[in-house]
Amino acid sequence: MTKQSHLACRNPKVIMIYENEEDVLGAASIIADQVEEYRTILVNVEIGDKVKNLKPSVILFALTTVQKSIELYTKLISDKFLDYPHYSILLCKNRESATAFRCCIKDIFDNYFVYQPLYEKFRLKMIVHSGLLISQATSHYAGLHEEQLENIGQELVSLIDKSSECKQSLLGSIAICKKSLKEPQNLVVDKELDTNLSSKKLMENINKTHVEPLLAELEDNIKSSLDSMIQQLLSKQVGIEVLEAKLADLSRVLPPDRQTVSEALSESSMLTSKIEHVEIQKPKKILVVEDNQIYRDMLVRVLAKENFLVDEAEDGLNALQKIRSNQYALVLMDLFMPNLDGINTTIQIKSVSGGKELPIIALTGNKNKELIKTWAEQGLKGYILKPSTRNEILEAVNKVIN
Amino acid sequence: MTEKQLQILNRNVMIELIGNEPDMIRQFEIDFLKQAKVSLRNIVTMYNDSRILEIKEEAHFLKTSAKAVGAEQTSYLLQALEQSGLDQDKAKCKDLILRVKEALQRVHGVIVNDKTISPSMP
Repeated sequence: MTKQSHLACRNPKVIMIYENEEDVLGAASIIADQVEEYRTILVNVEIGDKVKNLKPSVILFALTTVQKSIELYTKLISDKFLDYPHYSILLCKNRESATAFRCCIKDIFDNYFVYQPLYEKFRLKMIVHSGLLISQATSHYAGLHEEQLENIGQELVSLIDKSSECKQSLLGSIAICKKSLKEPQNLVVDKELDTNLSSKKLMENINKTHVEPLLAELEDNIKSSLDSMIQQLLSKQVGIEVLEAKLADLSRVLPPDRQTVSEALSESSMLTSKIEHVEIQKPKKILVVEDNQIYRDMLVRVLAKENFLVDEAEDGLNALQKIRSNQYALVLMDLFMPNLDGINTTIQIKSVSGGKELPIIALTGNKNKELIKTWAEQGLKGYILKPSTRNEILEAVNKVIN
Repeated sequence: MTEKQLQILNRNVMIELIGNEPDMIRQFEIDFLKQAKVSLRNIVTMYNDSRILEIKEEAHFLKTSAKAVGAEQTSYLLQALEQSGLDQDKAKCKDLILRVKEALQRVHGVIVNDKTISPSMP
């Protein structure tokens, strides 16, 4: 079975902003092969909002000229669409490599890559890989000599300097934020050192200020829960006593007939069921196993809207790993998948779940009736014809879960 | 039912599946085009390498999302391609691959002509 495409990612860590589709074909497919959470985005008026919503860690700028890329990046920072730590990569044509180099020296972009012509695909992969690893690292290149650079127009030099200032301002803001986050912790530590408290005293303080109030609160909670349970048990007991008295009265006059007994029993069961309903119902957890990411996303969306907790797996092996470490109420599973198909996954699930039955619903096309029969012999609770409507899916799911 | 009787892109399919959410529907349509581009490239490579049985699997994979987004003509042709791959009928596979490509171009056309959409590429 073929690998699924990873290009349809809605929460990418890496994005490439492009202007001309033909320009980025090669570079886009190299990154798509390397990174699962990747997406290309056409530059338009909504680009700022898109970047702000996606919050990617690595952003590649692949506009038709370096100047356009600098302008866009500066605007994204100035307009606060990019106000968090990220790794920026400038893609440029060979003839603009000196300008791109200057941009990186000036700390505008974190790195650059010549993608036209595209010679070093592994270097591009390395740059993206490094970008994902590095959160923020600023180091200045010491060997900048103006004469080594090709002639760059004065206007562009000025734009680069301006953009550099803008980027430095962003980095400065981030550093201040990081510092202010660390300061309260440092203050606490300093205070403790100043008062020269022993570790024992410190523990006593923590116990007094944090642990003891928590324990007291816990004790109160347990007490009130126990009181409530005792009340429920007492009311059940009273109900049973009333019934016993009623039955005793009846037995004095007549032997109990069938109807009286069944009425008494139904009253008793009502009491019991009232007590049982006091328990809070947890949302059911469902695992969706489907190799096609688009259809899997749709199913997850349909089920999540109904307040199910939904987990997903792209093949049978991945599903088995998840089943080992989770308690699912139901599994929706595709038949044809890479690595391990639906039928063999079902066989494996039996041994993984240790005899406890885990209901499985098959996701299938209508051309596979014979295979579904074979699958059903391994224990299926139902099937959903792909793609089906929302109502059909929920009907099949609720039938099994309820 | 023949290919021509089917719709290029039946949006009711997705409305009935994920609800009437135009933005989400658009996103899934664009994602489908991206996925189809890669998948079709894989199919052509398999054909050129005479790995005809593998075409069946790739066609099945793409058919799932084609059906889900309502690309009816495309999913119909992918079903036929899946069968031809299984039958190892190379000549028929070639014809169907070309027709799948045309069907995808029609889907692309529908999405592009919808002014509210700006399809991107992988």
